[in-house]
Amino acid sequence: MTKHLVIALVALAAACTPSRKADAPLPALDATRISHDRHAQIACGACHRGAARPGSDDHRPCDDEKCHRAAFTGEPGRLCEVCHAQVTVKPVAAPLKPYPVEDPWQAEPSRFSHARHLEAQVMEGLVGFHVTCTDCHTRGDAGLARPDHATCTRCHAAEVALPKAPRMDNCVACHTSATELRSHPRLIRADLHFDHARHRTDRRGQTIRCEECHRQTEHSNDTRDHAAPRVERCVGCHDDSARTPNVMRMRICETCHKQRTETLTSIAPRDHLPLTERPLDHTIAFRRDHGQAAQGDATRCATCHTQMSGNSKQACDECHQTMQPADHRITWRELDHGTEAAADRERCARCHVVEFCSACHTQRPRSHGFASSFWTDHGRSARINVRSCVACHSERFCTPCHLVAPRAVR
Amino acid sequence: MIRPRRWLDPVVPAVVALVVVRAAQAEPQLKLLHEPRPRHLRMRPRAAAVVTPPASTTRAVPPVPAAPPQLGQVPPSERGEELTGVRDVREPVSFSLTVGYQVDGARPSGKASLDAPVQAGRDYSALRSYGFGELFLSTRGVVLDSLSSYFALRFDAAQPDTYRGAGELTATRVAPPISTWFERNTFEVRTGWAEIKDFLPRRAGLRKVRFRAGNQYVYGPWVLHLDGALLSYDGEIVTATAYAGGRHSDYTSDLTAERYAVVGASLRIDLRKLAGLPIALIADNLALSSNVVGQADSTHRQLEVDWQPRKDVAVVAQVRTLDDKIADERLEFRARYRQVTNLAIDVMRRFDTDWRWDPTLITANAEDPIAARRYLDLGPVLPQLIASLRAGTLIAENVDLLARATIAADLTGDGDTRSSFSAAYVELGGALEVRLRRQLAVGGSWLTRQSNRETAAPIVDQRLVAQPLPASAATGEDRFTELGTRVRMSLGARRFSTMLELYGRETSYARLYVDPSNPIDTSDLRGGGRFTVDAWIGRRVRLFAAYDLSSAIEHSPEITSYKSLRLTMTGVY
Repeated sequence: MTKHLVIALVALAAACTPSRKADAPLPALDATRISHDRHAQIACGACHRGAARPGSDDHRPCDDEKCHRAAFTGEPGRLCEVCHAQVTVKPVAAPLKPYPVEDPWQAEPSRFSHARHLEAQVMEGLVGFHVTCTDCHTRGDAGLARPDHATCTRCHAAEVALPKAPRMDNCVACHTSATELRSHPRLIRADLHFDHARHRTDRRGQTIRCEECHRQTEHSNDTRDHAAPRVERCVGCHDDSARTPNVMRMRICETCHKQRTETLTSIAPRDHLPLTERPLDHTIAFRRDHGQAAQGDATRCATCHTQMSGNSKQACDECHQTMQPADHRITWRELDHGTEAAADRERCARCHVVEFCSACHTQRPRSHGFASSFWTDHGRSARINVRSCVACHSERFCTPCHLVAPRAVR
Repeated sequence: MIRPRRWLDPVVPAVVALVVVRAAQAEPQLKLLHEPRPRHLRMRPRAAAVVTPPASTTRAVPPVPAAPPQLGQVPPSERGEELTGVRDVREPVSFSLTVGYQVDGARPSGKASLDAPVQAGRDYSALRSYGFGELFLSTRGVVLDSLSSYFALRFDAAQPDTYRGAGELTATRVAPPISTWFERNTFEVRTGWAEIKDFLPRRAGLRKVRFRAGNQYVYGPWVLHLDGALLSYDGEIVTATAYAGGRHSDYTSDLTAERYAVVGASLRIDLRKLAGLPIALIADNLALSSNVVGQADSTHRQLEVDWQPRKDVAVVAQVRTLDDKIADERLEFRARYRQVTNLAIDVMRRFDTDWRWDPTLITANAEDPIAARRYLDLGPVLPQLIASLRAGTLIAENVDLLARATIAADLTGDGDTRSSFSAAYVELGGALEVRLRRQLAVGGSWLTRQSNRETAAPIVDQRLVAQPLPASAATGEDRFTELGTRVRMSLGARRFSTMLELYGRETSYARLYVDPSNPIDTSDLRGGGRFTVDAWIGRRVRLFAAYDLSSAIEHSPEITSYKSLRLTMTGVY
């Protein structure tokens, strides 16, 4: 029996495991990327001549004699793959990879402070206007362009001469050591697709401001701590019929995922649910033993439990005065509570004092009927469960008739 | 020697120039007519070059980008902004008013109860309706920045049903269809306090002093409802609290006989900050005194050691005394792993020196001035050991599991009288909830308890002859098993949700009597269901409806079933 139960539970858990494609490790690492570490002895400008791809001038300067000439005169090898997506000799075909690279998380990290650039007053004094997101991130038809050197040049060119601002000819002012790796959290991964161009306005036509999703950006002092939006941000709009068309709602997987999975595995993770949904940690076990957590953070409880003030830590009464346990059903009042009180009276005493119990136990039960023959016929109930009698009636009450009792109830 | 003609001297350059110019002016032929030989391959050696493996890079493999953290993993300090979308608890005023109406019913079946007919309207009310309401008001920083308050009120509008027979001068109260503790029209302040803190100067740590006065709950050796004042110092190392007032007795309209004078204090020392030990020591003292005859004064003390070796692991040891005698010992172990996996183990040993009804009523008194207490007697306090284990987890963010087990041992000594209310038992239970769809979840629960009672030879019952009473320790249920299932559909806690719950319980009672001519069935099977609808209109108004229905009750044949309809409307600000 136990074995079958375990197998059934495991099977159920496996069947109900949602697809975790969103966490799949994508994109794959591009091992052919150039190692800046190994070129640290060379000045940046020796390779990066303008905005063009290094080597675009007939492979100069990469094929210099002291550098990689041998690789350029020999059999096409891995070095070619740094720039070319494919290299064939016959027929000649050597399509280039995109440049700048598409996966910036592998690129050389730059010291860039979103917080500093979004400081309105500072920017006002320096460049004469408030820098906003779209001043650097140009919104094009294809999406949101990532700023390139040309974008930075508009303010950081030597001719502009911004005080205390790094200049374009000083590469290391922005780009840090190549050993510092970037590991930015990214929301759009795996089979997710996203188009900034389609997020300019909501269903009502109101502009969707960048910071609605990128809330932490204005506090980011470095590209490495630039947090990606959380899924909860998506939920806020995509679960709001006023802001999102029905065909783009959160419950439709294809809104963001390329494909949907079937049946049980299509259940959305908790972070795809609106904040008004039950939190992840509010499991059945938590609901049973939540006292410690509630003592620690009453404010969190009060966010949803409206009768709570959130003012004080020890505020059990604010909820428990009105919310009763799940087992307090309709049969509880008449039938079940006595069994529980007998098993664990301390559980009752956590909420109730004796007056609460006696308020009912002083009332004449329905079964006792005023005009019925209860005095002579109560034995039927007593024979089934005599404890239901002795919970209220003491020995003095019973003994006048039950004198033959060898052992009285009490 | 032939000498070239001199006239050709200017012609040749002109022709050459003409050809060159024409050639230069002609459309260039850029189309590749043949594949040019690779420039570099001319130097390729005969032997094919050995493709060298890519040089091993010293650069570490860049990590794959991580997904952003889920909300549950975000520190609470950063989470506030997210949750304000639900409700901003920092608002200076929060207000909630609920008005409700409930109808309870127990329709007569026409069958007899206890071998005699029971008449609705005379013996009990088949239908009873009443109104009720709840009001909550909390403030934060209103009038004074340092002032906060909380106010909770309940009001009831319920009339007791009465019956007056022909020729009778006075009406007699009849039982409601389902027991309810109140039959009154009244307002009751459940909680109402005002608190000031951060009002003293910073020096000497006075900033951490808070003062609360009013009708409030105090969490000491037990939860105490108090009309009084509380002074507290909430430091990082030391937390000290002192309070005094009168005990507020709930659920009764007559408070005069229930007043206890209460004086208490508690002290908590956190050794984590003081000595680097993850231990907190808590001591509580509470004294109650009453001027009512038969109500004994009592002193409660509790010492607690709270050891938290890790953030999500806690071991708590408690000992509580009543009038300087050890009344209760408790050991708790609580652990949490990755937010969703919980384990709790409680071991509690209760002594016969503990309280009898509730912590204020500690002794039995034959001359009890309040007769009501005679009608609720769970027997004398007997030593008992209760150990329980609860474990639960969430699999794949979806399958919610809980398993629990409890063992209770009766520690009554040999030869001492045992009681039905402190019998040994074993309890097993579990619950499961699975979301089938985003809005749809199904769950089930199971609970069974097997009691180990004294065995006694069945008493042969003869009609109209008073039979002896069995021993107390032999009475009660032997075992019960309860199964329940529920389906929940939710569009969000503050939008719309509905729930259907079905449950059943089979109980077997101790077989104490036998009647050869009229066999006695000592078990019953009953169940019920509940259907609720919870709908919000906007963000301010909530409508709630619940309908409860039980199956027929085998031991209450005079009614078809219990039923109840509850309607409430809540306004939130």
